[in-house]
Amino acid sequence: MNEALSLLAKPLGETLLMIAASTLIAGILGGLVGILLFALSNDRFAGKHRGARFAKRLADRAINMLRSFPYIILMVLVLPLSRLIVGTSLGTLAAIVPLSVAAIPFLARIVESALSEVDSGVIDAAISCAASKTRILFAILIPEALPSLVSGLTLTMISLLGYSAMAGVIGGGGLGDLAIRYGYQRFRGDVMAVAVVTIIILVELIQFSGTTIARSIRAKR
Amino acid sequence: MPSGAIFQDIPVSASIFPRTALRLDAISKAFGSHTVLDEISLDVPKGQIHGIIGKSGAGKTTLIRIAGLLDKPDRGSVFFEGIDAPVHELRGQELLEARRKVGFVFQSFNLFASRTAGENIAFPLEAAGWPSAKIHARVQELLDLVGLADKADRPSSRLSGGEKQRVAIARALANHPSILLSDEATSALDPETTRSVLDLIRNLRDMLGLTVVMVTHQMEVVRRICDSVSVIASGSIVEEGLVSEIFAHPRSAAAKAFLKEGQHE
Repeated sequence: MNEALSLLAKPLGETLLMIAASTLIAGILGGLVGILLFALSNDRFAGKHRGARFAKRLADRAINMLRSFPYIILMVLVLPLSRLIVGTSLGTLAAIVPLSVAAIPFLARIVESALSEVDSGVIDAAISCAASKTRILFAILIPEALPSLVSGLTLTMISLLGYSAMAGVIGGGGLGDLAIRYGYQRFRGDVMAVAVVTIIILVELIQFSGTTIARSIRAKR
Repeated sequence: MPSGAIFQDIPVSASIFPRTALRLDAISKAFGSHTVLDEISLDVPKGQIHGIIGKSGAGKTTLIRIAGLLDKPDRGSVFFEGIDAPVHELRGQELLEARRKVGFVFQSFNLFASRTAGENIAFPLEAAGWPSAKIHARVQELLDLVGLADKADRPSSRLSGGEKQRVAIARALANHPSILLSDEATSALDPETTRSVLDLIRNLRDMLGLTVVMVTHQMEVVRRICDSVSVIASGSIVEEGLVSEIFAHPRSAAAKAFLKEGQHE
């Protein structure tokens, strides 16, 4: 059992790195794409322009397409991109690229829907306060949607944890890889158990933190 | 035939009517094939509290949203005192400047839940680029004005209905507008709170020299604070005049119906 635990350290670090880096990248890029999707479809922003509606339809198709790829296929398809960005298609750093690519459209949809849920009356009020669109977006809409955004980010991180279990395919390591290679292929039930329990604890921790943050934001209102 | 339609090429500015604070000229609006407003014209004199009363679906909310630059008319023009161009055609910075001349209060308050009472009032000032020290002083001044001096740090969701509407009024007045528009501001409030909010609006008019337009379906509102009133039915103004006159001699069926209803309140 001690040996199983000692095997844990490196894969745990790899998993944490993959999740943290891809959450950060997807948080920034997915957030921007989500804001764009919202602005293109909302009548109060660009939604009334014919060009915006066309752009929104294109973006919807692209996002739906990206989201319909099974992750394992996406991972292989993205290999050239990984090589371009991190210089290699193997290893933990390379695994961050497909994880981010999968999380960006996911998070974009979450941000789009969180912003769309803000009451249109609140947007009217912000407009009547003579604020610019950009200010309304960043000073009103995003703070109003913050609890939903935090919940959405939590959901994204847990999905990423699930996807990261497949990183072993491209040599990314991580807890899933430990469970498969040691636990399953070498019949080490104890290693399998340690890996799975660690993943469960991580999911619980992420969910707990997300729920607590979202709740504390709501409690201050 | 409204005058604006005859002299279409001549800009009709509110400034040539020195006593007019808000002028709506032949406003029409349709949603799909449904005509909501049919060439409505209205001049609101400076310092007046003008009521627009009508049943739900009569078009009064659409009208006041157009006057408040929240929606655009299909045809017709909106003028504010002191701005020569039709304000509904302004864009960019000029549109923001025009919006600062008019405050808008809503039936459902529409406060920002992510902000405290004071931060709600601060938003229009932030948007106008005020330095934060001046914002703080102005917010306190406005809270005093609406009788909520001790509620600056209260999250907006923890205010009562009447307090929410007072914060909304303070927010609407932050940039020193000359016009205050109210879309059913008291419809979500109980009778006692309604009276206190109406009295507040009248006092603010007296103190600040505001011009106020109140859209409502409650005769009580018109009776209590309005000087003049337009009765609106299916997208047109069917009767217009001083409140005292219309109460004494209603001519249109719609005005008579409202007066009859008012007696049962």
